[in-house]
Amino acid sequence: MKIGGVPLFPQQADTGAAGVDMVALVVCAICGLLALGVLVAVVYFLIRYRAGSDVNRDNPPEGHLPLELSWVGGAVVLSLVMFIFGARAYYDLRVAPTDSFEIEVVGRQWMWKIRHPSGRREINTLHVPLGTKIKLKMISRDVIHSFYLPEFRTKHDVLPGRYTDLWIEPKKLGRFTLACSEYCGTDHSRMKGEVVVVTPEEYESWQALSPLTSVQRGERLYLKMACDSCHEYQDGQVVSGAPLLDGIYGSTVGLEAGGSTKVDDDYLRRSILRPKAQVVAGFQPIMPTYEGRLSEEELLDLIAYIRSRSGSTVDDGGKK
Amino acid sequence: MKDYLYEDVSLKSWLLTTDHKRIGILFLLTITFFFIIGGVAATLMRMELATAPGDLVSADVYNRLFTLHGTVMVWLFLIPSIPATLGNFLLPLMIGAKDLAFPRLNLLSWYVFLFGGLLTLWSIIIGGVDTGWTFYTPYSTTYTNSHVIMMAAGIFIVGFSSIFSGLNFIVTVHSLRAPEMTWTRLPLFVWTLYATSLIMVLATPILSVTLVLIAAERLFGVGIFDPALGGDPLLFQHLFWFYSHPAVYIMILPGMGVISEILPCFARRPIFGYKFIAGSSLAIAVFGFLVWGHHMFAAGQSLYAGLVFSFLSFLVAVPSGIKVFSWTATLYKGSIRFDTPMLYALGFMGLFTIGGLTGLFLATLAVDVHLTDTFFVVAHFHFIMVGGMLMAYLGGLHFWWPKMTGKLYPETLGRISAVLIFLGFNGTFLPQFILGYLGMPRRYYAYPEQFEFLNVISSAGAVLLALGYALPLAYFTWSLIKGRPAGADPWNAAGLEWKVSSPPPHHNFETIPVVEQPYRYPRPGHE
Repeated sequence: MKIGGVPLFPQQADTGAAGVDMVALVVCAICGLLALGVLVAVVYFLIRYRAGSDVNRDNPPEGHLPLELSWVGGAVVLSLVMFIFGARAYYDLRVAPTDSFEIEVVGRQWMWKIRHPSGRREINTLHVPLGTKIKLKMISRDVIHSFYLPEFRTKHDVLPGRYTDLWIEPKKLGRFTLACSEYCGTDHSRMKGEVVVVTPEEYESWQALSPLTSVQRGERLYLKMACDSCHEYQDGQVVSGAPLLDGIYGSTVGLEAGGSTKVDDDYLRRSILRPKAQVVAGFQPIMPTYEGRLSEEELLDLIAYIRSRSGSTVDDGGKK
Repeated sequence: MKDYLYEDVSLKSWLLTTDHKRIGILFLLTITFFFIIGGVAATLMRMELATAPGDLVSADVYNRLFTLHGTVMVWLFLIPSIPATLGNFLLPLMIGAKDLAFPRLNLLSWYVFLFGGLLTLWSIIIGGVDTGWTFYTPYSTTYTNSHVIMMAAGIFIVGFSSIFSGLNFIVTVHSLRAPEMTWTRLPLFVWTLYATSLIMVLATPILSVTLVLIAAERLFGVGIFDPALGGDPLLFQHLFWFYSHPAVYIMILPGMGVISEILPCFARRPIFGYKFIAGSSLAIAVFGFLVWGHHMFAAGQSLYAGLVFSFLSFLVAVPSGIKVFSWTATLYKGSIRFDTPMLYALGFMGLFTIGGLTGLFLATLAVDVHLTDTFFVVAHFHFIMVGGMLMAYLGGLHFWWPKMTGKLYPETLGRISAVLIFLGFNGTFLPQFILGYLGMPRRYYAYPEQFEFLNVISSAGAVLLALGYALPLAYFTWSLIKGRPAGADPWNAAGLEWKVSSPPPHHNFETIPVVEQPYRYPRPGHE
């Protein structure tokens, strides 16, 4: 259906889009029936009981307990139906499958920087392979943005200081809208781009055109920043009191201050920027801060490298 | 005996008045002024959005316009609208009291409001603010170079006016009811004012604290919300919506009260389901505090928090549903007249129903992820705030104008304005639901070409809407001079406020009024 040459319904580019539209239609049907019921009743009463009409007006009811209880009950039941439909689909929308392929997104005023696992980078365009489960790991360099893909029926805010995620599974080849939907300053409405869905083969060859993978870049950075001077073995001994990185990703470590934490991307990021905040039990708070010395992109590279040392290629630290 | 308007006509007597009726009029004038400012901003925005590219104003100006529009309309118009004008004027009259419990606090409330409002206005004049009325961090605390502190200070001060009015209303309802004015005889408008006041007193301090925290981070670099300083931006959103969601009910509850007064009067029969309507107002006030997280389904809040907030948001819709069903049943076996206030009330029912039901789309988790931060949300809350609250406010003004001024307005023009506003409103905001589902984000000053057609319709509707608003402004003013005298009770209405002359005398009641059952229609002895 079109109006003024414009479709009234956005395309469904994601395998989950039809599900979301289905829920919207269920809500639409329930609400439409309610609205229609009220409208018909109101119009009927207005006409029938207009002043001067010759109808029976004896004893207008001032209340009717069974009726009132029934519409309270009815409203609660209908609400529950809509809630359950919405909640089920939300769960599917929010929880990324563990086997998804990970692409990183860094938002900043006013552009989207995209980084693929092969190391290939792009700006304001996101190439994705058709029919693949893709998890977008996102962070902002400055203010809050929101990564919005209308044709995929999904969005999520991109926060500074913390990774958030979004997952999609493109089911249609073509170009689709990418927009920022959280107000972020002057050029908020220009912070847009497109999602290009290509075949997996095309994606592979496109992706291959990259000098270094994130893990490789991370390793270079790791050596350049001399992380290895503390976090490595020398002759079977830890050089200076720092936790070893092999196998640490995804594990749970005790903290010096008590309690424990899961070593996931957020924990690694915090530990690089503010090492003294959550020191692993048994170690001294001697690591210097790297706040202001590493960009969000470099942090992602470092984390990718540290993950690789535990044999992990995707951000599943929080999920294991 | 002279009425409250003519007892003393000096400027000083107005500026130092403690008469709740005069303070109501002062608020009426003040918020009308702010409404016009907010309306001008909206007009400029709709003009900019009439074409897809950003051409009329710059992006920075547009961002300031929507911030100005939101801030002024929410805090300087909608929140005080019905409570501070009609509420102030009518609450003592409706319960048979001579004034509010704290008349001087009431005057202070107006001065505080005026001062805070002017400070807010000043922040706009010296350059404006571009954060949106929501002040999301860390944009508002670290990144913008606009006048956030000044505006926040203005709103902080205005907050005290809310708290004062709320306190005053609560104490008045508890302590100054006439003998026989039992809780189950209170007009439903008073019930909604009571529920509103509870929210004002309990929620406003949270906003004040939040604004102080913004200032602390902005001025002194205390890390509260900005992660670069060790803060958490979502903390701000929790605090902000913990106030601002209940604030939505501050805005709509009194409107529901007005409708509950108008409908029985023009249907000439008692209201249906008094106790359920009264109870649902309190239920809204309580549940309203438990749903703030539904603004954050796609913001980084946990999955499980989302589930709980979605569930509670559906529950808060139930009491609103009860009201709509009860109002509908109130028309059954009535003898319905279609005077201007009734047309506004019927318009309210239609628009509020749409506004409420589209809220259910947003309470539905998976659908909200797609729709949040799009024009769908804009359309939804305008249906509640403008379609609901503003229709109710204008309906109430038309209903009680004869009481407040002693003058009648031209009925035909009144009916035309009600119809015009209803049509113009739908023209403006119905297309925005579609725009939202198509994926047009809000707060966009330029947008893709494909959205232009619907935006043109929306802007055209806004022209009708503006005309609709200009009309009452003109004939109300005209009626002050040329309007026919109204008499004490032009609608043949129940309720104590109609038992005194129009305009009412300074102390309302010479003798303690006799209280009867509420909504005794048809009027015994008259029809």
